Amino acid sequence: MGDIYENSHITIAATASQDSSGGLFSADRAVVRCLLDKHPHLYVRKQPEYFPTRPYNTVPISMPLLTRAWVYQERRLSHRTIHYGKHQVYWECQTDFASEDSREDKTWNKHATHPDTPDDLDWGDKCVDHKIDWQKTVTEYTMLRLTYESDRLLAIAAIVDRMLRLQRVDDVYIAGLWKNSILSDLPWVTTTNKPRPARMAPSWSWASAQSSAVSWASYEFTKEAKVVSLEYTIVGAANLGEVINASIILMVPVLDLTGLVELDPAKIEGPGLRERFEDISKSAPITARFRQNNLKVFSTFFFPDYDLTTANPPLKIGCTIKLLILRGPKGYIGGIVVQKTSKNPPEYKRIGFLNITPTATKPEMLGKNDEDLTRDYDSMEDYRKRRAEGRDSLILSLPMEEVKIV
Amino acid sequence: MQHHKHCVQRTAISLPKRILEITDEYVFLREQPGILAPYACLSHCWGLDGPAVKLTAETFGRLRDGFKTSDLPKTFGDAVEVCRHLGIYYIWIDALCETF
Repeated sequence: MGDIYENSHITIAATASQDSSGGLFSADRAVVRCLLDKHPHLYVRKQPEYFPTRPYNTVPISMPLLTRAWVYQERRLSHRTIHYGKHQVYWECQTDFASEDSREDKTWNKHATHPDTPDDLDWGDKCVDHKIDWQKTVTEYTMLRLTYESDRLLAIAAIVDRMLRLQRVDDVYIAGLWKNSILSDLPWVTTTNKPRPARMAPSWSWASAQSSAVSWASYEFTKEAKVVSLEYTIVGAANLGEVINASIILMVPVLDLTGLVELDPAKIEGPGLRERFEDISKSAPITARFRQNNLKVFSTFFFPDYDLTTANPPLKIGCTIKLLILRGPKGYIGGIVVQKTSKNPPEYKRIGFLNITPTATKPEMLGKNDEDLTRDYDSMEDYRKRRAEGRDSLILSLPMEEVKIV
Repeated sequence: MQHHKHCVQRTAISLPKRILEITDEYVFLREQPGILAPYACLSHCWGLDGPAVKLTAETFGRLRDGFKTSDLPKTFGDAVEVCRHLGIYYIWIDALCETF
């Protein structure tokens, strides 16, 4: 279906219509009025909503088309689209965006390089880096609504088909991730309280998280991290990414959280489980490890991949839980949280993402109350440098382990 | 638009295997048209129940032999009118060109 939009001369978008009976043309332009008798040539217009061009922009109620996940690839693949909005008509092509009142006119960046995160980019901006380009695509796409959860990989397959033909001809598309950039595709983040759907996606794929927005937050594995093996059997067309028997073995720095997360079933409530993971930063072994590297934990955030009370096997006392360490931006430390689901052979499943924000502290200041964390440093730059150094030495002190995730 | 080097300028494209041909009052479903011509696509919300007219075994004959544009769901009819104004005589609408 994808090449139908790609080859069309123009796409006509019924952007303001809920269904096929709404029509394209809107009569609702009465927002323009002449208010002053003395100035009959002066017209006042109510400010119309902005056309959303970033994933986190709220889609106005008057633009229902832009909330549909299936429509995402129709827009992306069309060479030019006319949007029939409630208040005006918009032009969108691979070069420009224009509104009838010219208030929202812009030219897309064709060679965007190294944004902090993919969602810093506008809808039509193209990244030089194919990895970032894909992460931007998934970030934008997963914000949108699907009627059928089972369409999660299907409704984006036409874009994948184009990438396989033009950008990533030597690559393999596996459950929403790409083989050649697998290490940078793995640290996706989501947050949801929905159960994991019964779908053929491995736990390390964002497609295993049900109808929730996925993004990348500039976390990366250390340069020592390696993919030891990547196994999968593709079922169906290459651009669908459906796989069975998928597993990945990583050799990465690991922080063992076993026993540090309170998993007594009597104490676990749905929302409470998240806090249990965040509480690890108060545990003695973690505090000690941070101190050894002149760091303290400032805050911890846990982002569950699904409703962990539905974990199978269940999360309970004695569960082995590990943090596969990632370097974050600004001296942050993070990791993919995995739960051991099989002893023999040892296998893990991804269950979430943990972010730890450390602060640097001098050894003599440890244990003291420090409201102003930066006061002992010459400058903010010095403080940030110390924090990043502490973080990197902490990571280096961790054991490298082979972990198989299914 | 002629200065947009990233926007493909092709006008002669082989048509999709099913497409609607636009005439004054009717649209005709053409199969394997095998000609080169520019066409438009419609991007629209299906809504809860889907469009009132879809390509099915029952509607196929009527669409092939000419479906009155004024009897199409409003969004489809409006899109056909836009095409006529743009001088484009073929339009692809998923609900009428794919079987459901």
